[in-house]
Amino acid sequence: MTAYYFRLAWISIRRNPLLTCLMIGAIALGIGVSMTTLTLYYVMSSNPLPAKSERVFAVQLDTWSPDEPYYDRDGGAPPPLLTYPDAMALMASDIPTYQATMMHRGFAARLDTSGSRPERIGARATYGDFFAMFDVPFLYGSGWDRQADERADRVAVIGRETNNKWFGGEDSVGRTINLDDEVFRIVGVIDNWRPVPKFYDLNNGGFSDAEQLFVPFQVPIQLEYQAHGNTNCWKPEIIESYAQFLQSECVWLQHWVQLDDAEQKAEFQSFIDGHALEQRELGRFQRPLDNRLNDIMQWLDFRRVVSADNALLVVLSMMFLVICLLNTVGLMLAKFINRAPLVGVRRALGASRRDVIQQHAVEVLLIGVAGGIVGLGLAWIGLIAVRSWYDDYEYLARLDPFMVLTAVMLAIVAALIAGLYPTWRISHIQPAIHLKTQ
Amino acid sequence: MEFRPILSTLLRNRTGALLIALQIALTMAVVINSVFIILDRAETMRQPLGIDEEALIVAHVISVGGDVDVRSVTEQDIRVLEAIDGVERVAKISTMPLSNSGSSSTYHLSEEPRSPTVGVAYYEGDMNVLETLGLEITRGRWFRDEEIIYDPDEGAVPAVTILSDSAAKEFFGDEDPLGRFIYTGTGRGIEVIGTMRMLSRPWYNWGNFYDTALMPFVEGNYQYVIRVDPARREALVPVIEQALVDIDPDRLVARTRTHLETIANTYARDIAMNRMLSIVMLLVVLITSLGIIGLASFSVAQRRRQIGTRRAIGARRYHILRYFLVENWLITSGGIALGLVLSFVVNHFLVSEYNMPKLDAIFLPLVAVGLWFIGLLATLGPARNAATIDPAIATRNV
Repeated sequence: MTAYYFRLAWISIRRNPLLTCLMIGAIALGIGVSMTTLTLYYVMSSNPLPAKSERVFAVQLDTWSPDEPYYDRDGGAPPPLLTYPDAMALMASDIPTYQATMMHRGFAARLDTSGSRPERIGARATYGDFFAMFDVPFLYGSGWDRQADERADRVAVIGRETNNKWFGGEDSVGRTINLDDEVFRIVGVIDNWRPVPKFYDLNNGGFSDAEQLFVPFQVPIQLEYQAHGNTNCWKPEIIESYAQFLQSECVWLQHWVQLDDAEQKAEFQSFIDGHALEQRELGRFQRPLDNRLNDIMQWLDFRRVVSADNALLVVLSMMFLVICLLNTVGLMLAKFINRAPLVGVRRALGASRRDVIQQHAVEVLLIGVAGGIVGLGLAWIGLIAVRSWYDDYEYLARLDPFMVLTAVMLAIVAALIAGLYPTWRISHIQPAIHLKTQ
Repeated sequence: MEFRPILSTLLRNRTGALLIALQIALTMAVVINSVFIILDRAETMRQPLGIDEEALIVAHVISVGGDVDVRSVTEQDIRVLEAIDGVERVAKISTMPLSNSGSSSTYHLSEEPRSPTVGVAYYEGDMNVLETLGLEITRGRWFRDEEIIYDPDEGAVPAVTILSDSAAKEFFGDEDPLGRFIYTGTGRGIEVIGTMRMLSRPWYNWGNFYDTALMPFVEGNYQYVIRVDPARREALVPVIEQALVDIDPDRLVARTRTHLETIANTYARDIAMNRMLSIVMLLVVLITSLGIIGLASFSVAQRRRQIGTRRAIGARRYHILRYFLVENWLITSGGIALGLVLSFVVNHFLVSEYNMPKLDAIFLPLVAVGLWFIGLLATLGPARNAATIDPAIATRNV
C-alpha cells in the first residue's frame, strides 16, 4: 500500500511541478536560513573541554574599587582578571590538582639571528600545569616542569603549524629558536588543538586560534613585559617602574584551576576567601567578600561569549521559518483542495478517511525530505558566506553530523506541521458534493 | 465599489486569506526590525573619525633586543619614508582611531583625588601627527618641538596635552580650557594648551566616541602612520613595508596596511550582521510575494466558473481585475494592521533581551506602503489571468 501511495504522491508532484517547486523551495529557504544561524549559535555555545569542563574553574577575586563594582550587572560582579600579587599567592597553594596563571604576549620570533627575518608570533606565557589541566595533545615531547616555572627557564612549546613551518614537521624537541633575541629550547610540540570558544582567554578574541607558542610565565615577567589584551586599573597609584606595576591593583592575568571534587573545591574556595580576608587586614579587598570559581560553561555564560547578535539572528530566522511554513500550508491547501473531486471519487469507491490521510501524508513527507535536502545545501552555502564575512569564524561556522540530522528532522517536522491542516481538510470533504459536479 | 460581496466571500473562505494575512504580518515584523537594526548600525559606521582615513597607511615596526635611541631611529625611518614618491607625511603614534586597541584613563578636575573625573582615550605621538592625520586645531596651539618626549621614563606624566573639543567640554563646560589643568589620580597636573575639532577613540563600543586627548610622548614600539596620495594607497603598502625592512632587516615589520582595511576589520561583525539581515529581509519579501501569487492563482483557478458567469452576465474585464486587487488589498491591510502590533511586540522583546535599539515609528508607514505595493504587484498577474477568462466557460461543464 505504501508503495502505491508513493506512486500517487509522485504523480501528484509531477502534475503540478511549479507548485511543488514552490513548496519545496519555501521549506528549503526556511531550513537553509534557520540552520545557518542555528549552526553559528550552536558552535558558539559549544563546550570546548567536554571531558572535564565541570572540574576546571576560572578564578575571580573581588579586588576592585570600594566605590563601585567592576561589572554593574546582577548587582555587581568581580573583575574577570587577577592582579599579579594575588595570582602569585594562589599559585603557592597546593590544593588544586592543576593550576596556571597566564597572559598573552607577542614575541619577535626567528630560527636564528643569521639571515632570517623576525616575525611576530602570539605567545601564551603560563605555568607547566596548563597542558595537563586543559588536556592539550602533544605530538612530540611534553610541557615543562615546576622547576622550569620557578627558574623561568628559556624553554618553549610550539604548535604543529609552527613546527611545520620552522622544522618541516620533524621532531624538533631539543632544537632552539630565537624569541626577542633570546635563545629558547623547544621541549614539546602540540598537535592540532583548537578549543572553541577559546575559553581560557576571552580578552583576546573568544574565537581566535590557540597560540602557536607557549613559554613559562616568569619569562615575560623577567623581561618586564606587560600583557597584550586588557589591563584595567581603578586605584590612583604612582607607577614609575615595572616592580611598582607588578605590585599595583591593576588586573591583567587569567587564572585557572582544576578541582576534582566538591570537597577540593570547597577547600580552595575557603583558601581564596582566607587570602582575601588576610589581604583586607592590609587595606586591600575592601568590597564585600565575592570570590568566585566558575566552571568552563558558567564562565562562557558569564562572559557572554555568544553575542546578542547571534541570538537575534536565530530569533529572526525562526520567524522566517514560520513565514515559510505558513506559505507552504497555503500552497498545500490550495493543491489538495484542487484535488477534492478526485478524492471524492476515491472515497465513494470505498477508501476510508485513514487511506486519504495516509496518501496525503506520504506526499507531505516527500516534500519535507526534499525541502530538507535542498535546505541543507542552502545552509552549507550560507555558512560559506558567513565564514568569508567574519575573519575569526573559519572553524566556527561548519555543519557537523548532528546539525545535518537536525536540519533534516526540522524540515520533516516542519513539512508535517504544514501538511497537518491541508490533509485534515481533504480527508473531511463530502464525497457527494464533489461527485455531483462531475 | 463591491466591498461587501468581496468581504463576505473572504469571510466564507477564511483559511487562505488568514494565511496570507499572517504571512504579511510576520513579514512586516521581520522587515521593520531588520531595517531598523541595519540603519542603526549603518549610522554607527558612518560616524566621522576626524582624520583623513582614506589617505592613511599604518605600519608597525618593533626593534628586537638591545637599546636603541628612539628619537634618531624614528627620525631616520620618517626621513626614508617621506622620500618615497607618493608619501606626503609620516608620524609616529601610539594607536589609531578604530584600531580596537589603545588606552584610556580618567583624569580629575583638581588635585583632590575625590574631585570629578572624565574618561578619555588618549593618543601619544610626535610633531607630525597634526598634518599626517589631518587634525584641525580649534583653540590654542599645537605642540612645540621641545615638548615632545622620546622614550619617556616609566610612569612619566606629560606636561601638556591637547584635548578634543568634546573632551574639553566634558571637563570645563563652556569655559575656556586653555591654560587649565587636568590631573592624574595621583594629583599630577597636565596643562591644556589647545583643542582639536574632532578625534575619535580607538574603539566604538564604550565611552563617548569623541572624548580624546593627545600627549606629546613617543615610544620605540609605536606605529608609523603614513599619509599618502589616496589614489596610490594600495600600491604603496608593499613599497613602504619593503623600505622599512631595508632600513634594518633585524627589526620586526608587521601589519602594514591601509587604515581603511583596519576600520573594515573593526566593523567586520556589524558589516556581516547587516549583510545577513539584508539577505533574510529580501528572502522574506520574496517568499511572501510568491505565496501571494500562489494563493491568488489558486483562488482564480477555483473560481473560474463564477468568473465566467459574472462575465456572461455583464461584468467587464476591469471589474474582475478590480475584484481580485481589492480582495488582496483587504487581506494585505488586515496583515499590516496585525503586523504593526507584532512589530512592536518583537521589538520590545529584542530591546529587553538583546539590548537592541527601540523602534522608531517613522519606519512603520514606509514599510506598510511597501507591503501594499508588493501585495498589489503579486496579485496583478493572477488577477489579469482572471480577467481574461472567457464568459463561455460558464456554460461549459468542467
